[in-house]
Amino acid sequence: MNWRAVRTVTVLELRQRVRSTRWKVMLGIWAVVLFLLCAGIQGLATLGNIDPTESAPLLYELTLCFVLGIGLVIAPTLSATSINSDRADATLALLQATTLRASEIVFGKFVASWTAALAFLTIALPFLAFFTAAGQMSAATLLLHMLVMVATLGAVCAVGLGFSAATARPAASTVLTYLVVTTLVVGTPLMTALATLVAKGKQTIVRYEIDYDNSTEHHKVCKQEPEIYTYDVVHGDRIWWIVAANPFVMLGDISLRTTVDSDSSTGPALLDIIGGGINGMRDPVPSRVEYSCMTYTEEHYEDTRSRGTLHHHNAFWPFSLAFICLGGAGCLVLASRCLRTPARTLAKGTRVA
Amino acid sequence: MSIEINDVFRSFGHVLAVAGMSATVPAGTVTGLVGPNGAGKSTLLLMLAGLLCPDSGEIRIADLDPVAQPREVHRTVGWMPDAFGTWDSLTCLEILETFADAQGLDRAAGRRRCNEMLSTVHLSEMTHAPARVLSRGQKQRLGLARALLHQPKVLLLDEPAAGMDPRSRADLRVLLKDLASEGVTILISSHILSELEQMIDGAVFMAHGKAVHPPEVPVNSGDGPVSRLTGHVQRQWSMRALDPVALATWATDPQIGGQPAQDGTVVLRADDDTQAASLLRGAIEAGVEVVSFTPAMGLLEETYLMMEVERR
Repeated sequence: MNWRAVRTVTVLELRQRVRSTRWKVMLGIWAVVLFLLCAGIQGLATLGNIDPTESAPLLYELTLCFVLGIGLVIAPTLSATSINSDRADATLALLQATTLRASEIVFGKFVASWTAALAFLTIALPFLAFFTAAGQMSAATLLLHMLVMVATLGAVCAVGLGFSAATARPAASTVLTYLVVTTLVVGTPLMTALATLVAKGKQTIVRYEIDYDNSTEHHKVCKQEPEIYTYDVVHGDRIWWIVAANPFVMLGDISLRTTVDSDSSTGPALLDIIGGGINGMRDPVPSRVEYSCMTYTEEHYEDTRSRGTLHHHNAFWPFSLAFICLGGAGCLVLASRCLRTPARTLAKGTRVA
Repeated sequence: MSIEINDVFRSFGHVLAVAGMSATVPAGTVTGLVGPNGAGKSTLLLMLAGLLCPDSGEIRIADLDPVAQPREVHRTVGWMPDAFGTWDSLTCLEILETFADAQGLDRAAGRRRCNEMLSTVHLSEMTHAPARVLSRGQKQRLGLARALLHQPKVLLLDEPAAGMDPRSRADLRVLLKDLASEGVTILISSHILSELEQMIDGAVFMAHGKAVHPPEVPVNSGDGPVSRLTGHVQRQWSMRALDPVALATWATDPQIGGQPAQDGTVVLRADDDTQAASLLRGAIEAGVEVVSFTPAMGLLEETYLMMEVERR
């Protein structure tokens, strides 16, 4: 791949789309919306006499989720039409008839749509940085959150390009791309909820109670016959991975591992709760638990000990990140294959020129 | 730098667009590609431009194989589709510069070449105008400038004159003749046959996805030239003289191979302009008092219509 060639396509794409969609106006509106949102919430927090170090983490997370949500809506609009609408405008074949390789055209278009999506993120960055500072939160959290956002938006752009290369109509590729985004954001929690029906199991608790009648202060005596209970349980550790690729859950996983660790005075906020929830799901549920001669306090202690510390599971977000990046890369490869010349087979309903 | 097409097939689904097409386009000539709508002309041009892969058959274009060497073909061939899409928001200069970059031209040389091409197609005053304000004819001219930007050795033009004003059409004719004399091989498809005839050295007729041999035009009975077997038609000239009998006597000599027409003129065949000039010199040297010697107008149309009759 030749970088000058990629740059040529990127510049062409940005000039054409950014000029025709009034991108700069949209960015301006976005900045105003963000400012109003942040100022509004900050104002409410001040009215409620909340200490800024306490309100800032929540504000940070609200803004972060808002930015990610809007980003996921915007990214497909840029990329999902960029190949098949060029085909409809009869401009794609002109590029294909030059010495540009298919991969250079696709990558150039990808960089253009990614850049445009990242412009939205860049405008949100000062707000997020401000809240990070105000809440005395760690910069590492912000950095890792940005990494996830950048990669997620890139992957969505790549998926959009893949669909726009494979389908004839811009409307079809847009719908398909939004379907993927919706599946990732809303579909994965729903699927996890459905999967709990399948991941059901039984847990037997065998408890040898203390025989208080025969025990002395120094010598505990257990009852010979245990009390046996059977409960319905959900094996969360078998299904938690379904939701792992959800970008919001990734953000939560990062929050959990950076905010709580860094001994901040603030309690866990929104994303920490999501991260902690997933972490808890990953605890194995044994089919049989035995308590022998324990007081309830000791039983509780035993439970906690067997689980270890609060987040004893390894971070999963790097794997989720790798997963969506691979998915995006796959889509780019697919798109390049669709644009290869001379074309052997054409996607249904498409023509070269 | 010629084009050789040998038994090429290409289908889209169940539709056979090109079915057993064979033709030869000699180097340094302007050759017309003529045929009804849906004859497979555009598909053939796409395959020649290295954008579409033939299902079977062989293509050699400027000694390159478009299937095995698509990038070399893209560098050597200039292709102008029938509908030139433009990037509405870009200016004419930006569009050409994009293609100069895309063809790997050196930046400074590319910029010079862009301005040069804009003045060649008389769009210099539109240099910084966005492409959306161009008229259809102006867009076609910009498309032509784009196709010529990288100084191609072979030029494939699909309906280039559509929407152009008479002045631009005349310019196009001169431009193509100049390019051909510089050794560029040009294959041009058009439905405006009278106009096409003024700029071509020969024609390839196409119908139902393959080359069709034009029916005998009522002029020459001799053994048809080899080029005709590959679907290549020779240019014909009409000569008129003060004394039709003397003219006919000279022309019907087997070495000249002319064919007297009913109005006292004779129709002569010439492979190229050089041969036409030598025919004229020969006539004058033979004492024929020539009044006019012009390309036979309407012959292409006549041939085409006869072909249509046969088709039905």
